[in-house]
Amino acid sequence: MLDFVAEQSRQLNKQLSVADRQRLDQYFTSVRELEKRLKSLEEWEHKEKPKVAAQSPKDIDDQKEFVRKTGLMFEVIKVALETDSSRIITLFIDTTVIHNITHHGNRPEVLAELRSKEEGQFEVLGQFLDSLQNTKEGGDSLLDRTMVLYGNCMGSANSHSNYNLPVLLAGGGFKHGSHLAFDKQNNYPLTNLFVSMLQRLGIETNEFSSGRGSFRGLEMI
Amino acid sequence: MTQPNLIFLFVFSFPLLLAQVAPCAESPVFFEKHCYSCHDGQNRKGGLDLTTLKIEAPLDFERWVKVFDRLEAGEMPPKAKKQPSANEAAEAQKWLRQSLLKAELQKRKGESRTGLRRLTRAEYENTMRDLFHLDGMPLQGELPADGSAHGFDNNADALDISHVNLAKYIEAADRVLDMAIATRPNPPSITKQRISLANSAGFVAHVLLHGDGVILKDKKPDPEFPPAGAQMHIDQGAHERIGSFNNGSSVGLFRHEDESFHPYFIEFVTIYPGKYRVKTSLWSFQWDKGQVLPARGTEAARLSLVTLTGDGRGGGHPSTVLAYFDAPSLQEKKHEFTQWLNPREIIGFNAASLAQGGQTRGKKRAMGFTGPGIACDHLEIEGPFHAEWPPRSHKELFGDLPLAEFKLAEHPGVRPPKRKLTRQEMGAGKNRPDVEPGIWTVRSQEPLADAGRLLSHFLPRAFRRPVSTETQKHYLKRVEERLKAGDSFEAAMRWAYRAALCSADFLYHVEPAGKLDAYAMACRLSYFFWKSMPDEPLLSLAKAGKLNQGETLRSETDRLLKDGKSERFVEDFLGQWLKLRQIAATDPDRKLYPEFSPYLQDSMVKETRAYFREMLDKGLGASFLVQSDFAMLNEKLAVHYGIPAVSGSQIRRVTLPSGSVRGPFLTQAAIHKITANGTTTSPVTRGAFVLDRLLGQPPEPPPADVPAIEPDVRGAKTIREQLDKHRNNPSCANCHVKIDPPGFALEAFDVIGGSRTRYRSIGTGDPAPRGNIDPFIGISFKLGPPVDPAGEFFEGGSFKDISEFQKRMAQSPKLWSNLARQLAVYATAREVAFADRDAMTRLVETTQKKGGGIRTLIHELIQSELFSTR
Repeated sequence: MLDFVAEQSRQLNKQLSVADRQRLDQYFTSVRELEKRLKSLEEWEHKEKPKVAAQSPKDIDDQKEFVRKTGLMFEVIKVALETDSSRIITLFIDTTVIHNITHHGNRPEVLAELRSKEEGQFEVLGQFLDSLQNTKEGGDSLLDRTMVLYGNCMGSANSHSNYNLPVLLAGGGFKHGSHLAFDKQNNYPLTNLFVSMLQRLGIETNEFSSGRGSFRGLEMI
Repeated sequence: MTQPNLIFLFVFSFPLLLAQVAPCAESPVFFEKHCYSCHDGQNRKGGLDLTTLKIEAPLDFERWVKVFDRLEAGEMPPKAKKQPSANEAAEAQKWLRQSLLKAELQKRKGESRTGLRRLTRAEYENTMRDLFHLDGMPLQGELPADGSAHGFDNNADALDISHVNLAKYIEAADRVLDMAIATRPNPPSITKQRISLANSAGFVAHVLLHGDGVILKDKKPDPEFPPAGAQMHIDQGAHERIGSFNNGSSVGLFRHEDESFHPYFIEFVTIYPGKYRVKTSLWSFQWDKGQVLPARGTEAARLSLVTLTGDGRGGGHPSTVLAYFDAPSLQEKKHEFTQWLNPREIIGFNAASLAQGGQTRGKKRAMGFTGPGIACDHLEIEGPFHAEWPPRSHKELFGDLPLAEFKLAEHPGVRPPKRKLTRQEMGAGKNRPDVEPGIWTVRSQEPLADAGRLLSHFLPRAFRRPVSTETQKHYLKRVEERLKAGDSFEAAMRWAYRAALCSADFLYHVEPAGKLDAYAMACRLSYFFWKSMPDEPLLSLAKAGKLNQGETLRSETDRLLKDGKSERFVEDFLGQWLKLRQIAATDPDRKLYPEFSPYLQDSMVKETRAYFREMLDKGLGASFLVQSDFAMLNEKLAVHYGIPAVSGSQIRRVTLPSGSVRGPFLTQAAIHKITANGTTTSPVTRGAFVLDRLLGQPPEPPPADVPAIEPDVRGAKTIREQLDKHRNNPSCANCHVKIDPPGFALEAFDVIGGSRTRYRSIGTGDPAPRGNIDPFIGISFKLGPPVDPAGEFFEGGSFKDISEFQKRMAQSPKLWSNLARQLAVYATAREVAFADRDAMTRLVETTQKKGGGIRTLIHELIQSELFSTR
């Protein structure tokens, strides 16, 4: 359709002045750009996907088992990365089942229950990172070649505060083994981490959203 | 030894200037004599070096225009310096004017003044709606935002296009065609549903248990569902199963909507798009611990359109306000209106005139509460209504071709047209779709002949001008190819229609260079007043060649302005000229302005639009922009402004008590809110708005190194004291002597447009009297330093308050010239050129001579050469 549309619109072009032709040229450029994008989307659709030897995992129906369900998703992610089925993956961990106890109000028994659930989450995360570490690709481990960003949009679910966010970065060829702590009153922007991550992907930029430079204290190796 | 240097400079500059422009011999001497001592390469006062400014260069040209303006206004040379003789000044201006005209002509070199431009978002949506008669089809929200140039978005410089736009246009075309094409032999069944405000799975049923509302029968508590008292009702589910909330009783509500509470009539979730009749019955009451008593007055409820997103995450869905409705004391008022509903839309409710806040009623809940309530007897939705079937939208595409069931066996080698399953997507909706009657589609016995005929009807309508037979043949050829490739007739035609709706012929305003032809004139008129394509009568006049006659233009202008679609003009024009689009850009601080509410904000916007409409209808003059003897108010605004005896939620014309400053744009709350930041006001922001938007003299931007002002709401210092430097520093004073005075006068109004004689503060101050603020709203702000609304006019003279300021400003001729300019820029989609200035002046002069204010101005504009040429 885009060819036809461009062809038709060329008729219009003939009657226009120089400056107007330049304006209409934006339209033709847009058509060409869109064509290119649609073509590469189509190519992707028809591209042969990697063959995956792993068995299809069986989902866990019980919504309350969200720690185990998360672990299951991590397994799928590892297979996806390993087979180069995908290179960018986002996972939203739905904690609705424990929503009530995240509003702990500092009650000790609720805090205890919440702690056990959160420790469970970190256990499966640890297992995931281990599995990436143990998978070899080229001369590196899969973990070396994958940036894993794990975090929360709330510093305190209890108060729904969006400050002092807990964030964990693993792998990806950075120097690890430290805790980078910043000012609790005037938070250092998380968006600078995104700048560093973009740079790690080979994108030449010094800005992303409100981030104006790379993350302080984070070294690439 | 400076003397020899000066002479040296002159000798060099003189021939330079001669080389740049074609002078008349005397004028360069004028600049040498009166300007170069400050504005040369060495001194560069105000950053201006006249000796190197080339009139042909576009940016320099703009500066030369400013030089011309300042000379003409007598502002330069400054009063402190030696003044030229009247003759000298006149000669210099004449010379400069001729040079500017010549340079401008050079610059344009055969280009049209109005550049080629595509449809704006609003124009696109309205054009699609009118083309297909789908009144409420939502399209704007999906398109990328347009830019802005010379204050408006319909200028060629504001309307870039990228692959993102194009991708969105394709999606939009598909959605429109989906809605327009009939897929069944009969219209969807008309259903009628009556819904209680306490409908199941809704917020209201829940809050009734807590006593935020009560169930009423015959204007008394319903014995089947006693009001919540010390013992809270429990188990909403059980009550829903018994049908406690659906027994036909009324629901009285004490609570305004907030982040956790959104009343919806969620039992009807629209499945079929179309026109529906909505009815409701409302009244108000005073509740006193179990007794229903007469209300404090007429309350107001708001109905809105809420789009459900289906992710089940809570109440804050995207919504648009439909209207406000009166709820009179102990007397049901029945309201009825027709509304277009789209799939997944429901009606939302808000007890808008009740005070916000006050979530809990206390330990005794409703039985311990005394206060106002709004009662809703029910909401009734009936529809969808179709005047004909298949609907007009379908007929624009397929004419009178019959619909028939598509049986695969009867069409070997043809793919059936695609169909989406119609279902009730939202669990809470009780309405159900009709049974799908199989695949029905248009049947054509002579596909190519029919296709040709249908295209020759559709294409000229879509492109807003006649389409050559050659172009039609191209489209027809593609239809033929699609048919050969196995598409059904519907799908093949759809391909062509979609292509047409994505082509430049549809997306762009096509206007020949020079004098506009009849179709371009028709479009200029319809896009001016309706932001959309011309209708049949207008097109017929174009075809008959009558649009070059003054009388026809006049009567068509009147007709278009009278039509309800002209509200689009009011909304779009004011949204940009007076920046009404920014009304919700800030949230007033809850502690400082606890009386602010969505009802007030919505009323503010209605006031400004209604006032402009009144100016149009009554032909009022430009002085009414700043001074008036009437205002367009509802009760909410009247109370806010301290104007007595206005009752009810509808806006109406009110004659003001003598001495009142309210009424015109200058003193309207919407303008005050838009020019403040939700916490504090600034005379600079407001002054700049007045200069730019009302007088057409935008101030220069501030120098780069001016620090931001730290607003201080602790009450220690007023903004005026903080802006002291404007007066005392001569380089600041240059501009601020013009900017600040209107701002000082407007200090009489706070961030939500209320009158004040003292600033509100959170820290130090005196206790604040309640005034007109609702008794249920907690007041914690104090009264701080007094407001000083006095000032001095730049041209001389002073004012002690807004009233004196208003009176003087109302006489300014700049109000007229600016109003004319704004309308011209909007109507012709281009900036007013230097060469057009005389025409603009004549426009204003003729209007003033004929009388009839803004109405005459518009007529004169449309009859002018400015409007009828590209």
